[in-house]
Amino acid sequence: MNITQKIKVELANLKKKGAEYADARFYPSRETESITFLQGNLKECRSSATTGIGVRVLYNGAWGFASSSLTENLPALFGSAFENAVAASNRLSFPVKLANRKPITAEYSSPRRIDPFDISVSEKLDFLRKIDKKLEHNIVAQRISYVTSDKQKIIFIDTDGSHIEKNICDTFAGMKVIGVEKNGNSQERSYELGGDGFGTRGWEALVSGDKFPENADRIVDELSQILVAESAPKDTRSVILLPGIMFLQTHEVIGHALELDRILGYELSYAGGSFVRLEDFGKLRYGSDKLTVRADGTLPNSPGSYGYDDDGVECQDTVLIDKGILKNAITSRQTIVEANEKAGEKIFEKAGGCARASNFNRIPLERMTNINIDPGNDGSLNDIITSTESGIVLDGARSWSIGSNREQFHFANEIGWLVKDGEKGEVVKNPTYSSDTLPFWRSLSAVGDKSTAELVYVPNCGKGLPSQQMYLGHLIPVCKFDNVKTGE
Amino acid sequence: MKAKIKKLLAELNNFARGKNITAEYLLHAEKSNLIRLANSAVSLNTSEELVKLIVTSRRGRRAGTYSITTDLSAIDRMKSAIVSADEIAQSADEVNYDVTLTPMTQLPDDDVNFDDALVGMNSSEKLDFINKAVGTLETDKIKLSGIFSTGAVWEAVANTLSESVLFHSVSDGQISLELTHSELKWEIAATQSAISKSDLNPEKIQSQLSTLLNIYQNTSPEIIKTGKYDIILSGEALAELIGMMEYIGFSGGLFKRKMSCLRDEHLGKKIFDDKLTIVDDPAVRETFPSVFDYNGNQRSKFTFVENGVFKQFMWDRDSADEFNEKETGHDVSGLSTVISSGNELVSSINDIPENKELTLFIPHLHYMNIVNMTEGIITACSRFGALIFDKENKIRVPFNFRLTDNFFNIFNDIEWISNETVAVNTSNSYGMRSPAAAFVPKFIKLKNISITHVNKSF
Ligand SMILES: [Zn+2]
Repeated sequence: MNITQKIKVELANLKKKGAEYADARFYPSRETESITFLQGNLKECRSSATTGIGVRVLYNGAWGFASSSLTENLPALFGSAFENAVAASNRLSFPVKLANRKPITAEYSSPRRIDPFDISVSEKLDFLRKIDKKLEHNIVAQRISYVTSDKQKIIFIDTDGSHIEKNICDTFAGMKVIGVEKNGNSQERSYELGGDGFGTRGWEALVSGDKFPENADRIVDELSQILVAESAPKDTRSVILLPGIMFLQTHEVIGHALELDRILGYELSYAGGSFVRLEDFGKLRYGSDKLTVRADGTLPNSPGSYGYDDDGVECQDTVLIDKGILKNAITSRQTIVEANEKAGEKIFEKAGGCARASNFNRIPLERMTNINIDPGNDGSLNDIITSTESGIVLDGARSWSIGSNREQFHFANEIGWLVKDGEKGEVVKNPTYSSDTLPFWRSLSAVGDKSTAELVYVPNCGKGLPSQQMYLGHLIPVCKFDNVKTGE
Repeated sequence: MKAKIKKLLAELNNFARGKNITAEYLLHAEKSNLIRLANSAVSLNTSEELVKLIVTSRRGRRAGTYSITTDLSAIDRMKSAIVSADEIAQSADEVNYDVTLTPMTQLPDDDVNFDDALVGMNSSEKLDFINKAVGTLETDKIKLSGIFSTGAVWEAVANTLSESVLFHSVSDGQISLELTHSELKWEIAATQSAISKSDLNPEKIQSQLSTLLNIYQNTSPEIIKTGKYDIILSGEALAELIGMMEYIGFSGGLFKRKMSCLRDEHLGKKIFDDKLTIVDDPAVRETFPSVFDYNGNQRSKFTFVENGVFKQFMWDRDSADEFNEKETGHDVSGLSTVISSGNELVSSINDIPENKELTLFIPHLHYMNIVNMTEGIITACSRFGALIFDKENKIRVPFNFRLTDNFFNIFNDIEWISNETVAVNTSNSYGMRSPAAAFVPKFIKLKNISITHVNKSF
């Protein structure tokens, strides 16, 4: 018997023992590679290989989970997950029920032309060495460039008869320059590889075109301006957020706030809750009518598109906020049943395909897919600047800190450009802005057109206990918000 | 497990030596169990077993690293990991400085802080503890969340320059229980850190929760004004703050890379209130210490700040090599942070001495981040039971608020530090299990801290 056959036998045994449902995720191989240059030195050249199985069992309405990198004793592993579920069922308040869905047999591969693991270490070093050289400049005190690749093969099997095989390969890459002001304080400017949601994201995504050389020149030039710039003003004005910060604004204060497990209180012991209540769906004015947000797992090419989630549900394109009104959430099979029952009405029609685990040894949770903002009718970045009386254009995420119910936030940026009477003016350093959540989104006064949108990759979204780091994306246009507190 | 791991690493080392590969290794095994609670129920009960080998091959100034997560019995895969690391090293670029690799001196096994009873606790014992700790505090409106995490780590390090295998193992427990009002949305919490089963004390948790619950149930919350306040931090909030400062202040490598708020001009100078003393002390068992680092350096007490004076930077081996400094035994997964206690007799919030000005109490900091590294500016929100002590020491309840200030100001004027101390478990569960805790005063009072945002609701 091969290992998938053995897994099926163990799953069947769990059913015999009284499990309502069980699934297993087997990672025959997960390979990663990361290479980092720091100040001309190759600081990290590291590969890894992982094998393991995670087993999730639902018994009497309670979850048990067990995982192991030791794949030789499957009965012990599956037995441990079952015992954990039995123990958990001793303290229950709302028994877990899973929304119906048809079992699926399917395969999914992320789009790529050149497997980064087929590229030699020497070739990768050549690529990064060139970037490192490009960042070398008399105003740059420290320069960093990196590439990481992650290739996962995941086999999902459940007691309903689903069998899904996924082959997902992601590559993240970026660079950063740090410079020192006369007073000894440092400033930074960075660039991360992104996309547009289409095409492929194998090794070819890094080397095609001049993304890295062009952006290397740009970030060094911008750093040189920041180093001699005045401090950003401390007042109230319009903020024009470029995708390099707008993605994080969306991520933190829409994405996380709309995870249904957070709304139901499942993250209160760590990440926090949400100001959103079940009665808000269909009614709450989240933002101005320029705001339409979707969780789009069907975008052809993004770290936030993965075919099928770890509930065995297909990825979907779900409108979360429609012209400013809250419509839907980031959901899983478990949470929609609980939310609908608790609300006493059918708020959620079907599971959103958003349950994902970061590795074999973690349980699936509500995770963002691609949380995108629909492009608007307010033209280009220039058009938005021209229509602004007093504002600041902001880019780069230096710091982010959000209230535990996502009711307020504080962001610090790498760079700002003042805007006065429709003209983009000088660069300012140390810009920050902060606000309460709803007044901020309701002050959205301009959304850039498609030409302003970029797909930003997020390799490090943290959530859950035990903690999980997840990959996802945000396809985001330039947005403008009015009367925002800046400089604190 | 101990014998198995030591023997396995010795065998791998022999293999590498036979192949003329120069290599260093960390062999890590862990066992974890975590019960997570939400809405007064167990939302997850999870167990995990994991074995990981990290091997770095060194060819002079070239290095390559390969790690595998696998079975302890997969010795052939581990051997091929060594060969793979060496292949990477062959292709790697040289760094522009000399790289240190020294033979490891055999040290006695470091396993005194291992308690089988803690690691072996089963789910029903943990649920009993939780039920005792919460007692009758839950209601249909007041719901329990939290975690009860226990585990063990077995680690061995070695390199091909000697046959020594250094072994370290530790058990750890982390409990945090929160009570939340499902409609009013306020939250209170109590935490506990354990290195052995006998450290577990459900009554202590219940006493902390009941004190805060009593205040929160009987007091209407109010919106405070932004501005400067005197602030009392709990041990938990202090440990988190100091953890962040260790990261952006005490690392020699970060200082040389122009990313640190402390620089050479601060060395030997008084930068904080003289009541503040911060050391890294592996003799303090509550911190899950390791007596050697990953390079086999024996660790000893290391002073960062003494009576407000900044004494020295810590140097990991790679930074020390690059910047021509001496390594200080700090290639570890977590420091053994100890902050000296003070003279104020404060054991709980009931003992807080009278305040001349309206004073805020922050039990926990939520979502701290670094606004500006070199200026040492951080921002974070209050969470899990903030309080207001007014001038008559009457206790009131604020909605949560945001603190944004720099470390130089935050620790510039310390009114008092409590005489009692507490172990605060600061472990996170990303990547490998690596227990960490700080041993800190239970309370500290800081003067003149900036509150930059106030919430209007919970
Ligand atoms: Zn996130």
